[in-house]
Amino acid sequence: MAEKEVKDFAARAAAFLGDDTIADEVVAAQNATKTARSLARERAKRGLSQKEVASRMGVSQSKVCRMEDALDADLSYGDIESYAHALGLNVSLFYDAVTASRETRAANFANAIADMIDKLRSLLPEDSRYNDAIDRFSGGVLFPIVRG
Amino acid sequence: MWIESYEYADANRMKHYAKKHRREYVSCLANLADVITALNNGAAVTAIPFGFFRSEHEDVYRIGQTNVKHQHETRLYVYACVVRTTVYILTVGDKSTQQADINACHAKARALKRQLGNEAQAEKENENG
Repeated sequence: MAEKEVKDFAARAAAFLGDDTIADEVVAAQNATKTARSLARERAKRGLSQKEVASRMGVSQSKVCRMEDALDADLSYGDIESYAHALGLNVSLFYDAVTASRETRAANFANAIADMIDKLRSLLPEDSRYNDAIDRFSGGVLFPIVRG
Repeated sequence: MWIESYEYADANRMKHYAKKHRREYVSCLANLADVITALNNGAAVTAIPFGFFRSEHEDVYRIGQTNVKHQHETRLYVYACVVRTTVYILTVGDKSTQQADINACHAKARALKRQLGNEAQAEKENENG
């Protein structure tokens, strides 16, 4: 669920109980398992069982099961990377400087998007009809944000 | 678009659990949100990839809690209605009431199916004048 959908879901749960405080708790619990659950979803998309992923990772099925049920905070980066590789995926990291100013954070996001766009461009044909639009977006949106 | 519904939920029982077994109840709800996400991403109800989501037959499913220390084993029971793309929340319980809860949920699910069948029939008759 997108952030807003989770908040709406939590608000409906709170309205049913007549207890506003539960909404924030549901949102927090949801946010605490985003990465772990995304592993299970990616596995399912590829039609793989936990057993098959475990075999590719060289670990037990119960380890895979524990990873998918874990809190994100309890997952190691190595385990996430190993799981992703078993699915044929690469993991990319993004550091969000949450204590930085809004401008700095916006610039960081714009830089990360620019990196993604470079990767996207490398996957498109040279004469792609999207090239002009990508250039306009990069020049008109990302570059000014990065420059500040 | 799948959505949850509290229309047929056992309000008294759920309020009791939300008060007495708060962390477990919250965890079950957060897990339900993940189930709905999976359904909206195109997963079939029978192919939800999460270990906490178990079939109790007759389209009734049990959603367990995860990551709760010193937990009171809690289960949220739902009826997944494919026709309405709605997950009806039915009740919440624990191991001691498991069989009675499942039986009650089966009865509720059957009643809901009958009601939905009747509504579909009435709609058809209206369309035909």
